[in-house]
Amino acid sequence: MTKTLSIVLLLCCLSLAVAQEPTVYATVISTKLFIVGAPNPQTGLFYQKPSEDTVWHHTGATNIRANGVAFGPSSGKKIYIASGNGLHKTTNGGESWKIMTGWEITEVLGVTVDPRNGSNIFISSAYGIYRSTDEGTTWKHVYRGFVSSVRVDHSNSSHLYSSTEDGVIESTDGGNIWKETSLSVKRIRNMRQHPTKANIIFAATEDNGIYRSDNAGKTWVKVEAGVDHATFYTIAFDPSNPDLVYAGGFATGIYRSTDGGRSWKRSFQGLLVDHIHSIVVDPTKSGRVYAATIGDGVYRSDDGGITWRNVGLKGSQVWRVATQEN
Amino acid sequence: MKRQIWLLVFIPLTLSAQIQDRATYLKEFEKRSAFIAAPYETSSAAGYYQAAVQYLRKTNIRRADSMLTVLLKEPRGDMFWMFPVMGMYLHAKDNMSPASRAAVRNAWKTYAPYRGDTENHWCMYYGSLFLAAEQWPGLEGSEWYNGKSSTENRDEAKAYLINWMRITTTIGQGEFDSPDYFPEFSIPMILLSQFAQDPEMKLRGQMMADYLFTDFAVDHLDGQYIGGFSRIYQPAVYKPLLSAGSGFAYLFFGTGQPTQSAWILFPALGSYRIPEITYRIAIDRSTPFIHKERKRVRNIIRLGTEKNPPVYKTSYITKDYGLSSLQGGILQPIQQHTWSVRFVSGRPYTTIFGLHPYWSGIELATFFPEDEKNIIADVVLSKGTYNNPDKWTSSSPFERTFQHENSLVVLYDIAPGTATEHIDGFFPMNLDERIVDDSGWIVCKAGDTYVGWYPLQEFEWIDEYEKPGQALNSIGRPEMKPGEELKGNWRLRSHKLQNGYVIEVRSKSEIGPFDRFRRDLKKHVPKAILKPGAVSVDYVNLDGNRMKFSFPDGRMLNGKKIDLSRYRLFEGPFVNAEVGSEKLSIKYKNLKRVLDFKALKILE
Repeated sequence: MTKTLSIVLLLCCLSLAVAQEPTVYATVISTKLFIVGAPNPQTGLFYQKPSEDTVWHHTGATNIRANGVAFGPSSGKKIYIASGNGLHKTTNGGESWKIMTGWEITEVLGVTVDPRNGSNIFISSAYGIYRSTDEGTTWKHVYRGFVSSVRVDHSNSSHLYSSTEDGVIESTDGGNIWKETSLSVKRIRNMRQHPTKANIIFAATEDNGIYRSDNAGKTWVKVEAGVDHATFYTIAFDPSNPDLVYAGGFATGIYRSTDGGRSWKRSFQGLLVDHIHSIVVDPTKSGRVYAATIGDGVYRSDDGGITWRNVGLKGSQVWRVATQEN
Repeated sequence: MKRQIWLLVFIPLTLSAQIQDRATYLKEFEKRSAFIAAPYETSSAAGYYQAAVQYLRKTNIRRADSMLTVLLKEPRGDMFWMFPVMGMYLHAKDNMSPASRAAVRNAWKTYAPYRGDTENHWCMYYGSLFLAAEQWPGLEGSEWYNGKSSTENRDEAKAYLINWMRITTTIGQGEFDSPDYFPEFSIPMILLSQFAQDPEMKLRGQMMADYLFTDFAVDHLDGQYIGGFSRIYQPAVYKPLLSAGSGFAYLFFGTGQPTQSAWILFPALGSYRIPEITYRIAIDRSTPFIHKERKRVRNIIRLGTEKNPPVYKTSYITKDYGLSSLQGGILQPIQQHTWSVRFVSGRPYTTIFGLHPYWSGIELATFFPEDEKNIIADVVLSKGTYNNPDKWTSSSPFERTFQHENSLVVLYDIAPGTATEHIDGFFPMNLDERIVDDSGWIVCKAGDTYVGWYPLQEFEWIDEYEKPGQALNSIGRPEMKPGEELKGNWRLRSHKLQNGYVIEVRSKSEIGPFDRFRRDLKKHVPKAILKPGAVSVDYVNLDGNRMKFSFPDGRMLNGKKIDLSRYRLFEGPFVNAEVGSEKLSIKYKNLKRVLDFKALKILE
């Protein structure tokens, strides 16, 4: 009887632990075998629970050049995929999907949902920024140019940053009007805001390394200490410990900082590929980090980025990894 | 076997280009159409083309049903699936079993095709989607792969197609004049012209098909597209009749080589016929003519200031040859063909051309959204020759041309460290003559066409092998058989960074015997300055016209500056259109036809 009770208790604890796990998403734009129009292997949006280790499930359309993913703020059922075909949306956790954009919006590279108001959606694309205030039903073209990402200031939804071919731009009116910040460097590939100190932002650039601003983009400083590479596609904070920051890019492997991004060290033990396109830290478990690679699927570290191992989607170009808390 | 009999008994290996009256033309068209469809009537290979013919001709409906069962189990091919499946369905649905019709419908619910990233993809995607949405009206979004209703899909597709037509008829086609991508644009238009239920789209389909075929017709010679092209594959770049577009010349103009390519099956089965005036323009080469066009660079998404800069194409076409050039620079990534002379010789290699083989992540990132540092590897997956220094198709920012009638000057000012640091010229194996004259001219004869090439720098000859690995293929493109290797063409290679050449082309009917052409060239030696940042040529051509050309864009003819920006959309004896007009005026002797896309009218 005692033994049975113990097993039941153990199972309860385990299921509770599993229930608290986030869902990890990965967007695969292509595999090593991708050719437009050819019988390509499955690509698109994949997901897993961390406890599933190397097992991934597919949802949504295949072969759509899935570049990004974002989630509605509350229910966990609303998911958006940024893709070559436009913006896909599900409102039922992936049971059915609809393309929310028309022919005018193509090569969608990223999608951002305002964390405070899920009706506000921003698309970054090869042709600019599009804004929707009705969960993607209608769109307004609010900026023209090549845009890699849009970030909503987590302290103020009217304040947005965007990484573009022409530099870092910002909007203070919720995305209607955009202006350049003082960063003179162009070709910005990604941006990241400190999870608690809203004035600290980082910019990852093509050919110009990493830049940091401590005053919300008024002034910028190039981060030199320990950075030996030039092209970065991603920066990620550990939400539980914002001093722990990760970065990756072209031929960089993983860069790791333990002082909030002031100085960096490379950390790539176990990585079999050094092109990193996206990094995300499990918000429920400090030190569990996922890295999307160009050509070798997803890698995971469980020790704060010191060692890495492949957890599936091998051979894939994974553009984005993201987590959704359940 | 049956195919061989057709070839040997009914069709000569190359077709003479004599103008036929309309009744004869239509009769001959039907013969060619039957020839093209013949192998598909009995083939047991599972394919939409085979199924289409076997349904339509009722030769084996049960087998066609079985084919669909196999094909629709796991549809694949994206927009290259959409138009064959719709082409088959529209031609054959009356003879399909209810289960097969339902299977096609279901595929549009369950299979989500990629929309693609370029104009020909979008044209196929939306052309097919429009027709599908019309076939299955009134359905909710849950019945379509993209979650949109029939009405939403139809309206979106129509809006895209109208926008594409508007842009094409105002500032030019994007993937313009492509011998290999002609089908991707023309097939959706042909299907629309026959099957669209919306009268506006039916008319638009017909008008756009007329537009595309007339654009081809004026640059056509003996089954070949004459160019300056946005995109072309190897080996069609040096064996012109292998391009998919030449199949359309065979079917619609009755020229070139007989082919039973799947690309021309739906046009062969369909009711669309080119206007008589277009046919006559394609065939009549009795008088040499100059034809100029303005086209459009593919969408520049970054690293540029203008989304669609203009392309200027100049062609001089006679009954024996066509010399044609684009102005040079990067006008289309990967597969650009900047200039060539193509001639009538009845042999497989009917062209001479030159290029600077170039590649870079910057070039690709200008047009594609993927990462600049990784994108070359991506592109090489499907365009395997892209980073091959021996490739035969390329754009280059270091190449510019200046053409006046049948004389051409090409200059290069290549930055050190560029991939690559050489220029190449293609000289075919089947020339009658290839003489390096002591004057410096390389003098060639191919049938009645004479080509002079004056290299401005020292060069070497390299034996050119054609191997399967070089004739890299994509989807459905012809390539050599495994193990096949052909030696005999020549590659002129020059390693100087400041470089160039002068091209003169004449025919026997223009200048007399070949020896006279050679003698005349001796008296016309170009003067060149070849220093970094200062590359220029001063040349008086065989007709006494003085061409002064300074790289990149200083073109002077007889002391007058050439302003390419004054090029109209079409300008020549047969086809004319103003930029922005949406109106194409076609004329041939006493025939006239105006395609007015603004008024949506065809005037004759």
